[in-house]
Amino acid sequence: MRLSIARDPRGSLSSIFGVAMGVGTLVFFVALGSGIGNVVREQVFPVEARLIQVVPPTVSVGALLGGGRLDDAAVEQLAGLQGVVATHRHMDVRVPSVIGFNGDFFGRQLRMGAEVAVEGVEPGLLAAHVDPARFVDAGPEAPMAGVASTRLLEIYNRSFAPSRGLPQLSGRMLEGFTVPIEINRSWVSGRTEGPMIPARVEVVGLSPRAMLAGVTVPLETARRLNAQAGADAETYTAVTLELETPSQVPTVSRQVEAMGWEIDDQDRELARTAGAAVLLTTSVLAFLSLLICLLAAVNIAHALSASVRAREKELGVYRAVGATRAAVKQLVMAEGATLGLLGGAAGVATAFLFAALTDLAVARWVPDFPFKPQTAFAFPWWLWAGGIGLGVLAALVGSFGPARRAAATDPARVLAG
Amino acid sequence: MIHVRGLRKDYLEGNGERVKVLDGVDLEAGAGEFVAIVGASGSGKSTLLHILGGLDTDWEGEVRVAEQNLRGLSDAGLSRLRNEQVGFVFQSFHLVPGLSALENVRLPAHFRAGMSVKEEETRAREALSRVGLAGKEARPPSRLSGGERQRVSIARALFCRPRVLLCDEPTGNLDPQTAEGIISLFHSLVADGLTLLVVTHEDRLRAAAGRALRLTDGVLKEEGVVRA
Repeated sequence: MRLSIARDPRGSLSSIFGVAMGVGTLVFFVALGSGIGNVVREQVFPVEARLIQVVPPTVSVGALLGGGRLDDAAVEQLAGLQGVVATHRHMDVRVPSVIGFNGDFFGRQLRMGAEVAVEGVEPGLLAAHVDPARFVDAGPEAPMAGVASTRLLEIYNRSFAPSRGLPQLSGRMLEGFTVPIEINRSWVSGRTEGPMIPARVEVVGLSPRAMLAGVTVPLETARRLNAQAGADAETYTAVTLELETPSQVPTVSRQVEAMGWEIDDQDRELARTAGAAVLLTTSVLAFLSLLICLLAAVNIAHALSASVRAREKELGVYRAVGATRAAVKQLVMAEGATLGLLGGAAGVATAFLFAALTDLAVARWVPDFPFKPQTAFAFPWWLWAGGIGLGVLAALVGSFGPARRAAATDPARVLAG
Repeated sequence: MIHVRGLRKDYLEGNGERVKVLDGVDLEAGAGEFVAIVGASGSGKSTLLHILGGLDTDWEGEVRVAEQNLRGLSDAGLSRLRNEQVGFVFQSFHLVPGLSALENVRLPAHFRAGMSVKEEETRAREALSRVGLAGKEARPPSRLSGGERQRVSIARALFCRPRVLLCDEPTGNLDPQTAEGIISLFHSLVADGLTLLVVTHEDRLRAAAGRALRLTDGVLKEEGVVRA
């Protein structure tokens, strides 16, 4: 086998190069699609597979008759569904709020104001990211514990701050930062009913589960603020159901809907749509790469056909010393597989190299943007194995015809004279 | 060792005419017998050799080699026969260029199961030593003389310790002195009980054989012993 490769290094290299091209482009694009998909799923639209967000129905006859209230009784019912391991209640602060800041912002003078949403959640929902001991309602006199969204910080760091000359921030820097907030005040509607509640929000952590455009506070804080402002402090805006396994999502969703509630799967839909777009693009590019693999197979077929023709006598000798037709066929197939293996390995290695260079180029020359990943590629083990396997497969397909011709070589004819 | 009765072989020419190559060949050769087959070019000598070695399977009649009826053997059976019982030596040596002498000799082992690498090497070295090429194991064919190449090809044929050796013009490409060396090697192999069937044009080789048979018009006839 090493002989035939060494005897026709040009043809062999051409075959290996062809396979490497096909496999390399395929692995590169699949790794890119997979990497971008990961960014979309984990950073841009982080959807946790085991969570369902239940909200009251948008239009409900029951609500007109006093039903459709997402209260403690309803939450208890939802908690009793099979597969639900925990419930996390959400309550919006049902009056407008504004944040105003004028002072030193991490070494820069900053003057800003914004109307923000405030949502209260049970500390258990954020327990994975924020210390539950700090995320508690400390009463009307103390600053409110607030959690910001990691996605919001990403947008600030990559887009907002650079354009305004503001400093880059980390979660640790933000912890303990306080900002004044006025509850039951609006710059948009101008007038609000009930008393305005001045307060301060202290950032106690960041979480991807915190609301994007607003402040997430403990549920009890939201309940207290609603009561102070004269708003509904009894019913919940939403309830997050935590399930045992992601596979239970469809069943529990159906049961929830049968109970008259709605599922807020906006984020899930966005993630699905973005994921589908990435998958479609990747599939098109992968298909083109497969065509290159097909061409590589044709190239191998040509190279091995030429090799078989040139080695007729040698194959005849093999037959004369005891090789069966099947053994000769296997020999040529094995030669093809070796070319495929080498080409596949070279292709995967090349794809990895180009991916690293692309990451380097993006990091160096592409300006920062929100969710700009450290790497746009993902190389799971199956991609390495699949790439090499595809190279071998393409080579085997290409070597099948030449192998059959080799097996059919008439030793009596080629060894005569 | 070789038993042939009524062997017939013909083929179609380009103009559609059927040409008889072998037309009822009978042949008997026992262990330790050195038989030369002579005849004009195109008389069917090589064809007969290929049939006896199972390389050509399109024929009629009865052929038994090393106690095996070739008619009843599959491709695998014929291959095993060539691998274990029958050795071939060709006029053009047909060595694989990129392999060393030792690797060329070991070639049959690639198509045989159950032989350890150590045993393969030992056998190959023994075969090379038998043909007088000890010490030249690592040389590629390009660095061997014509006579040495033919000896390597004989060593390859001897690797599996065959009972029958079929040689097609084995001295055809060699100078007289080298040919003499090959002939004396043949004598020593025959003395060990090998059945040697040689197709040749050369009087010297014909004279060296114990029997000479002439293939004329598809029929094999005893020619008697000729002294060169």
